[in-house]
Amino acid sequence: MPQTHHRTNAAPPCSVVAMAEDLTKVYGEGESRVVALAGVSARFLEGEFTAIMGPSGSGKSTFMHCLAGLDTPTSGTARIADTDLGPLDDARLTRLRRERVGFVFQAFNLLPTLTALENITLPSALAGRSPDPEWLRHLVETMGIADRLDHRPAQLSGGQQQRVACARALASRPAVVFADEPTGNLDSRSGAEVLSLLRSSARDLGQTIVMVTHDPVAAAYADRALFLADGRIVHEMPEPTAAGVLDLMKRFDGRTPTP
Amino acid sequence: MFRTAVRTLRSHALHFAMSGLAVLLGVAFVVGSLIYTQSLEAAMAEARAASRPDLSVEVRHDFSPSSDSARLDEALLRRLAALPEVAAARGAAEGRSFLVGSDGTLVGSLVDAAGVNYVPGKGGTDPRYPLTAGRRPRGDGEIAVDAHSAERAGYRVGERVRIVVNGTARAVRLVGVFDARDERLAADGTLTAFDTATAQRQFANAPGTYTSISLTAAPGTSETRLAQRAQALLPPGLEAVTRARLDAEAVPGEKKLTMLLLSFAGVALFVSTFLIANTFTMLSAARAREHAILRAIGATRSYVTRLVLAEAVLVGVLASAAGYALGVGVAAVLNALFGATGDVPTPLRPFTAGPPLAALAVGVGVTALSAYIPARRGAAVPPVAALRAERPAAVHASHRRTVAGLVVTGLGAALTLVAMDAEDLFFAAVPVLLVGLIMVTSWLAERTARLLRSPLTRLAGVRGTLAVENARRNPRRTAATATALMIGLALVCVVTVIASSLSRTAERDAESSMLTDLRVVPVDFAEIGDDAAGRVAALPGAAAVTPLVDTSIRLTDDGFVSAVAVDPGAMARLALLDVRQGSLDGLAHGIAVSEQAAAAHGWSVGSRVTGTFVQADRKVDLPVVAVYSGPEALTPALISTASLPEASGAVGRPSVGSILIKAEPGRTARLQQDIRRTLANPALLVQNRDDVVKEAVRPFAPFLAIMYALLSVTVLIGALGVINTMSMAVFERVREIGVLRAVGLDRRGVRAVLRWEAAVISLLGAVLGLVAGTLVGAAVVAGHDGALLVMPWDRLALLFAATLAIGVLASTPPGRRAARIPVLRALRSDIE
Repeated sequence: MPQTHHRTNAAPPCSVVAMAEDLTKVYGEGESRVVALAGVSARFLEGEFTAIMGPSGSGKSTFMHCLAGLDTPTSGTARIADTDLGPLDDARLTRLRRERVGFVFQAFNLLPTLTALENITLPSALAGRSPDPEWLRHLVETMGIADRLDHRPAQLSGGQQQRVACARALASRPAVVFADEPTGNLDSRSGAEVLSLLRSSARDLGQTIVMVTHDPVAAAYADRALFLADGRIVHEMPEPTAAGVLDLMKRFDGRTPTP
Repeated sequence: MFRTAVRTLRSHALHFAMSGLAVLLGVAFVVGSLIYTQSLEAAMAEARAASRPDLSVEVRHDFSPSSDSARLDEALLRRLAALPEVAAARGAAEGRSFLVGSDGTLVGSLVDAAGVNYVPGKGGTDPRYPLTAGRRPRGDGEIAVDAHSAERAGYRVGERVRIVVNGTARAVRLVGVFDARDERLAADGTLTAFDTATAQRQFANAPGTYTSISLTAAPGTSETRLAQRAQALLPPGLEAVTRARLDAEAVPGEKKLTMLLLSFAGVALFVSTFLIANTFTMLSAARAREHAILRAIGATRSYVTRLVLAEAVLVGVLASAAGYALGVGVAAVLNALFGATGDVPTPLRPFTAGPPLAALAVGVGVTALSAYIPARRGAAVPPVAALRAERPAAVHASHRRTVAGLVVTGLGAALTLVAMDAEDLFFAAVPVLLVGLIMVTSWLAERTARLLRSPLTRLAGVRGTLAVENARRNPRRTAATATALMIGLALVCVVTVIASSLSRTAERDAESSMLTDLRVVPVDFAEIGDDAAGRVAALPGAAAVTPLVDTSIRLTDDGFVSAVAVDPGAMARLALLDVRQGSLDGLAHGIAVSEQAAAAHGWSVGSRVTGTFVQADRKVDLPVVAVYSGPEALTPALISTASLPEASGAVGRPSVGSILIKAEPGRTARLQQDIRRTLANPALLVQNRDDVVKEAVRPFAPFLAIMYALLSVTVLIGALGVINTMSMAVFERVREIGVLRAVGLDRRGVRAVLRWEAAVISLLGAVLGLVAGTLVGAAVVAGHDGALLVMPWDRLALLFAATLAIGVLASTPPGRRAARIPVLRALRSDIE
C-alpha cells in the first residue's frame, strides 16, 4: 500500500480527544425498565485505536452512540475534544458530528444516489466547505479507491464500499472516528483490509478510532480493548490478541451468560 | 382475504390516506354534482307539476307563417269551452313584465319575470292565484304580485310601484298579493297579474285576443283525446298541445350543467388515479418480500394480485362512503355557487338512490382500476428475487413507451392544429395530447433531473444534488406525480388563455360597435319601448338620436335581406356612413344598401327592393336611394322607421334593439344622466364608451372564477399527489435520512432536501402544464373566427408560480415528519 507521508505518533501521547464520565442510559420505566449503561467512564487518547467488546446486550453500541452524540445519556458526561455534549441541542450536535466525528457503519450506509467521491465529500459539502484536495488525494490512494471515485455504491464490492465509507469518515479530519462493527458485512479478506486501513490511520495519521465489535480477530487490530458487560466496563486489555480476547470472552460468557 | 386486507390497511393507514383522500374528493365532486343537479331537476319538475294543476291541454300559436294572423279570441274560447270533453277553459294573456324593487333594481330572474292575466272565478278570485292580501287588479293602473316577489321588492298592498312592460317603465298601484305555485317562481322569476283587458293589450297580438287558452279535461277524458277534439276546431296557425308534451318541451337546462360538472369531476378522478397507482406501486415494492413468502409457500400470482386488489376495493369503499358524506356538502356549495343569482335555494335531496350508487361505483372502480397494474406488477416479482435482501430497483422509463408517447404526443399536437378548423375535434385532441405527454413524462423526468443536477447543485449545494438524484431514482413515480400537477395547470391555462382572448375580443368588438357618444340598450330578456327614442330626442343636449330596429325582408325574387330601420334625419346628422352613390336624403321613403349587398343582389340607385317584412308578413316596395359603406351594425341595408309595418301586437313585432345618441359638444355626461332620469327604466342601460367596454367584459371574470373553482379540486388532488410521493420517499429512505443526519445534515437540511425534490417534480409538472395548456388554449382561440389571441403572460406566470409553490408547500408535512425521525431509529431501520 503506497503511503506518501508519515505522521508516526506525531501528537503528544497524553492528549485526550474523547471521554465519558459515569455515563448511564436507562430505557423504559417500571416493569420494562432496562439499564443499558450503568456508569461507564473511559478516555480516548489522540491516535489511539480502541476496540469496545462485549456480548450483545452488554451496552457497547449504546455507549458508542452516547459518546458520538447520536443518543443522549440519562446521566453522566460525554465529551468530544473540549466539547461537553450534554447541553447541545440537535442543531449543535449535528454540527459537532459533521465537524468532529466520523462514522463507519456495519451496513456501509453510503448514499446510493451519489458517486463514491460525492459520498466521501458529503460531510464537508454539508458543512459548505470543500475538503483539502491534497488530503483527499492521499486518502483515496491510501484506501485504494482512486479508480472508483465515479462509481455509484451499487457498482462497488462490499469491501470497496466500506473503504469509501472509511474515506468519508476520515475526510474532514475528525477528532474521533466511530466504527460500528465495520467488518460485520464483509468477507474475512475484505474485513482484514479495512481493519488494516483503520489501524494505519491511527498509527500513521494520528486518527483516534473507537470501534465496536464482537469479533476477537477485529479487536486484535486495536491498541487496546475495553470489555463491557451488563452496562459496565469489566476489563481493559492493552495490545489485545485474538487468542487473548477469545479467552477472556469465554470467561465472561461462562460467568455472565447473555440473556 | 378481506381480513388480511383490513390488517394491511390498518398498518399502512398513513400511506393509504392520501389515495383515500384523493378518491374521496373525486367522489364528493361526483356526488355533489349529481345531488345538486338532480335536486334542481326534481324541484323544477315538481314546480312544473304543481303549476297550473288544472291544465290538460293548451291551445297556442304554432309559429307557422300563418300563426300571426290566427286569432285566439273570445269566440274561440267559447267554442272550446262548449266541447263536452272540456270541464273548464281559460284564456291566458301572458308576457314579460319586470318588477322594479323599492331599491330601483329589477327583482328576480329576468328570464322568468312574467306578466299574467287575473281571471276571477267564483267569488271573484282566480283559483291559481289565491289572494292573501288586498283585492284583484282592475284597469291598467293596478297590479297584484306573488307574495315572495312583493316581499323581496319591499312592497306592501296600497303602495305605488314601478313595473316595466314592453320596454317602458310605468308606475302602478299594488292592490293585491297572492300565493302561487308556478314553475317560473321556482326558477326565481316573478309573477305580476293584470286584469285581462290590460294583459291582452300588453301581451297579445291584437286587442281582445289571448296568447294561449288552457283547457281542463272533463272527468274520464284523456289529454290526448281532448287535444284531438280541440285541434279540430282550430283555424290554421294554432295548435292544441297536451300537458305531457308541454312538460317534455320544458328543456332541462340542468342536463348541460350536469355534464359540465361531471366532466370536471372526471378530470379530478383521473388525476387521482396517478396518486393511487403511485401508492400501490410503492407498497407492492415495500412488501415484495411478504408477497414472495406467500408465493414461496404456494400462493398463486393471481392470489397476490387479488390480495392487493382487495385492499384497493376496501380503500375505495371507505373513501366512497366518506366522499358521499362530503358530496352532500359539495352539493350545498354548488347550490350556493350556481344559485347565487336568486335567493330561492333549491331544496337538496341527498337521499335518492342514484348518488350513493354512483359514489360506490366511481370510488371502488377508480381505486381498483388504478391499483390493478401495480398489483399485477407486484405479483409478477419472482419469489427468489424478492427474497433477496435488496429492494427491487425502480422501473425506469422504457424506450418503447417513450417512443410511443412521442408519437401520441405528436398526434395530439397535429389533431390540435387540425381542430383549429373543426372545433369539435378539440375534445379528441386534448386527451390524446395529454395521454402522449403522460407517456413521455417518465423519460422527461429523467432528462429534466439530469439537466437540473448541476444548476441545482450550484444553487443548493449537496442538498440540491441529493434532491435531484432522489427525483431521478424513480422516474415513473416522479412522472406520475408531475402529471397530476400538469393536468390541473394545463386546464387552468387553457381556460385562462381562452377567457382572456375572448374578453379582449369582446372589448374590441364593443369599442368598434360603439358608434356614438351614448347608446341605450336593454338588459338581457328586456326590450326598449317604442317611444323611448322620441323621449330621448326631446332632451336638451341631444344632437342626433336614432333607434336601430332590426328587421328582415323576404325578397320577392328569392332570398332575404336584413335591414336596420333608423331615423333618416338623425342618420344624416350622425354622419356614420360613407355614401358612394346617391344620397340619404330620400331615405324616408326609400332604402339604402351597403356596397356588398348591392353587389350581391345587383342593386344600384333607382332599382326597387320588393318583398315582405318577415316579422309582420306585410308587403314592402322601396326604391334604392343610396349605396354606402359603413360600420357593421348599420349594414347591409337601412330603411326609415316610418317604413316599418304598424305594430300588430306583441308577438313577432320588430323591436328597437338599441338607440344611438350623439350629444352636443361637452354635454355627454349631463345628457347621460338626463336620459337615465327620463327613461327611469332599470331594464335599460344608458352607456357611454367606457360603460360599453366594461359591460362587454363583465361576464368573463365570474366565468373564469367558476372555472378556477371547479378546477381547484384537480389542482388540490395534484398537491395531495406531491404529499403522497414525498411521504413515500421518506418512508422508503428512512435509513438514508439517518445516515445523512449522522454525518451532519441537520433537521432543516432534511426538510430542504425534500423541498428541493418536490420543487424538481413540480417544475416538471408546471412546465409541461404551462406549455400544453397555453398551446391548446391558443389553438382553440386561433380556431375561433374573428377572435383575438391574447396571451395573459402575467397571469400565466402567476399560475405557473402558484403551481410550483403548491408543489413545494406540499412537501412540508412529509419533510417535517422526516426531520423528526430520531437518528438512531432511522439508522437501524430496515424497510418493513
